[in-house]
Amino acid sequence: MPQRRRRLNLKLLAAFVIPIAAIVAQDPTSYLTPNVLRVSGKLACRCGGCRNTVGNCPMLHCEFADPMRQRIYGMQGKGMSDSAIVSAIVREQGIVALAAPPTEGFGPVLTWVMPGIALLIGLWIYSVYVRRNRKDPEPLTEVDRAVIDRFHVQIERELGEAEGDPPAPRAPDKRT
Amino acid sequence: MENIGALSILLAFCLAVFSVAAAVTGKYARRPFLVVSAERAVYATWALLTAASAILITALIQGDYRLAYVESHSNRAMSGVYKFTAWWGGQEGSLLFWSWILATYSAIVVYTNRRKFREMMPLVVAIMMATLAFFIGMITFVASPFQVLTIGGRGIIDVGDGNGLSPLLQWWTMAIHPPMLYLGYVGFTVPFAFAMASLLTKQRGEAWIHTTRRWAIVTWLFQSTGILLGMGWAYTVLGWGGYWGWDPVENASLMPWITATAFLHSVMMQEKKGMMKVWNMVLVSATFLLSILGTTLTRTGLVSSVHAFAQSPVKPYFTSFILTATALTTMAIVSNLKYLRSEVKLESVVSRESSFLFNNLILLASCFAVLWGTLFPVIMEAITGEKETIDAPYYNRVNVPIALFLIFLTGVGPLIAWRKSSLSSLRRAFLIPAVSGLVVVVGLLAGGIHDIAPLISFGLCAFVLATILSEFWKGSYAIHLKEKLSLPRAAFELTWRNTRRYGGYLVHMGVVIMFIGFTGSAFNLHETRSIGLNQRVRFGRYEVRLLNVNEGENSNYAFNHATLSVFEDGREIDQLEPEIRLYKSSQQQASMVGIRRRLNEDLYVNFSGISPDNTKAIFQMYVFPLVSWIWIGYWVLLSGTIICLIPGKVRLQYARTEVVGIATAPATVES
Repeated sequence: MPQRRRRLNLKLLAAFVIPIAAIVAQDPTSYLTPNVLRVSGKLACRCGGCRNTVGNCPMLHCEFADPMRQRIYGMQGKGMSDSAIVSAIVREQGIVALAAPPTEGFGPVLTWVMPGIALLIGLWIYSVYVRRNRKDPEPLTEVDRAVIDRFHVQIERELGEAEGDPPAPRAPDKRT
Repeated sequence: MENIGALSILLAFCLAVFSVAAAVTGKYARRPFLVVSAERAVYATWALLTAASAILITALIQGDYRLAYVESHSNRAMSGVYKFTAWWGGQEGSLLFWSWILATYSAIVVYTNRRKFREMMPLVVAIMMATLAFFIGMITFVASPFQVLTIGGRGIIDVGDGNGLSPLLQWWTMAIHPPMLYLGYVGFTVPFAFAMASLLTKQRGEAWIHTTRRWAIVTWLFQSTGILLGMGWAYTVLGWGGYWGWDPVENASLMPWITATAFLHSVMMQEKKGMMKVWNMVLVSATFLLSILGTTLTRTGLVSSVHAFAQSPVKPYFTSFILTATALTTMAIVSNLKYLRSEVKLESVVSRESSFLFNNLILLASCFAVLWGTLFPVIMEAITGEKETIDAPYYNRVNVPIALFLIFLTGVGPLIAWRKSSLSSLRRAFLIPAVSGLVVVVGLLAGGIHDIAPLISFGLCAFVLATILSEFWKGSYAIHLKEKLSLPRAAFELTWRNTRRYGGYLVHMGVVIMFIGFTGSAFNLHETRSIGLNQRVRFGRYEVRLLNVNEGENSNYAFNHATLSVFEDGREIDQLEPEIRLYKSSQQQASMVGIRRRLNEDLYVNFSGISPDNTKAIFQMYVFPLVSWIWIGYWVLLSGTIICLIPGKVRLQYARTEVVGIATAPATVES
């Protein structure tokens, strides 16, 4: 079916029947202030449709984030501080309201420290592995010059082969 | 036809179970005909699942709305491509798709190894087919894609049209993203099956590694591509430019990717040195189990996620399967520890071997942090009854330091010699990369960037890029001098001689380039603005003017479409056309954002709606610095991985070297 288009004059938009639910309930630019965004960045958007914070949930029609931002705007209007606003919301909804676990209480603290503990355990395993599997340093021994020369010839030959040269003659094994 | 489809998957299930039993009995009772029969059952299972898939796809394309699956995930207005993609758009179809991919992989493995590894192939077949039997069991008995719609359990009804696929999924990358991820998830079964079979039959040498190296790399590439396509989709479709949201299902795709990355590094240690055998077994098993966990998270509603299918009856079966598989794998590894003993000892902590070990440790720490963040809310709720939310702020705080350290190790690895590095050689090797990193940090500081995390990140990226480029330079220059080839030709020759090494460097380079893009997010700009017709507003260094707003509709959706002119320094530089759509059948809204993509930054505009007084249009405007480098990094990673898969011009052999003595006087090499 061909696509139908109609140009809208925004000044007269009210005269048209807008086919989609594009009209927002309240102009968000009135309450999306930097102060609101700062506080709402600490709270989780729990609309079920995203994993954003209330601050960066992109859906202007979001049934969770949008009323929450308006509420924060209202609370700031009453002179409440950032922490007072967050505490009031956590008191009402529990720590699930926070975008990241708090740094107090057994469970939330465990959330933060466990990756560090796992890393420490890993480092301990690493050090045990290294200690058990580490070879003692080789004793300093005198090596016959002929042995070194033999390896030089071998290196040259293998490098030559690797680079496509004809194979060099093998050095006689002088080890006896 | 639905009866033939259901019968096909039932027969496929029976054959998969038979294949497992025949392979194991044939192996241990020494009955070769049973092993051959088990292998033929693999082909037959594949044929039956192909038939079942073809029936479902035909029903989706022709619109057979008697089938519950077709009614839920397709409708008449959808284009043919999206009707096809509805195959994996829902729970039942995606389980069939998973099974079909595993059956295809199994058939390829059996065919390509029909004359090889006769000792371990019966167990390879048994492990792959046991996994397959579980998935086919799910679509046979628990979540059948061939359920019909009935009235009161009596007459079959045809509802005439369906609900359609979610509008967010009607996007081209979504046609490729799930199959890529599935190819990755499912593909990890192959190295796991070979590893376990090798362990249980106590094979000598590293045959399973040589055989599965390409499988592991290809699978890793599919997984990487799937993840990147998902990121690209989220960036373009969700309307806020976020490419990674730390959603549990996104995390589920990342975890096996991390362990697979660790495996691809540590497997070299086993290949070259005969070390880290237990570790490799653990990594390959963890990758397989995390793939199953990822599938479980997506399918069972265990964690709340945007991506997960709704709560479904498959949950207890998946949980049982993953627990059983974990227990059996642990038992197999623990009871064969003696066989997995290292052949060589570590000579120095300052060695390539040690850096590989350390890199693995950090990768696993990162994987654990993601796993912990994903599952802890579930554990916490089960124990205390209290719900907890773990969103992006937690993951970013925990994973950013780990990721920075990993980038550092990416640069350090190539600079350290195998076996042992002396202080003087380290000083020589680190000089240019360290100076490059410092120069970048000082330059950025002078340019006014004072945030510590981006400074460290850009500095480390420069350090690693300098390391990789100097590796290419040293090798190419030597060839250029010796063979009188031009430098680009010499670089090509160098790469071709050792595709694994230099392809690997390119993969590292791709990852670093992506990190440059990720770091750019520290400087994102965002504003929500109301704009009247012909009004100009300033945003960052741009000015944006609204030219017009159109409305319209087609058979699938109605839309509002805005046209914006973008100005910079008073000069019009672009036009953006964001759109909002309302899909008719599902009544869901979706955004088509307008993006001006450039290497330094993207200007990203989302048309959010019309103001309450109908005089202004509301736009969410974003500037995303350096985001294009994420997608460029992917192409570099892709080329590097493909190069790794090409056989090198020079066949490399990793002789297990030994120290015959240490010379008291320095040796001289004649040139």
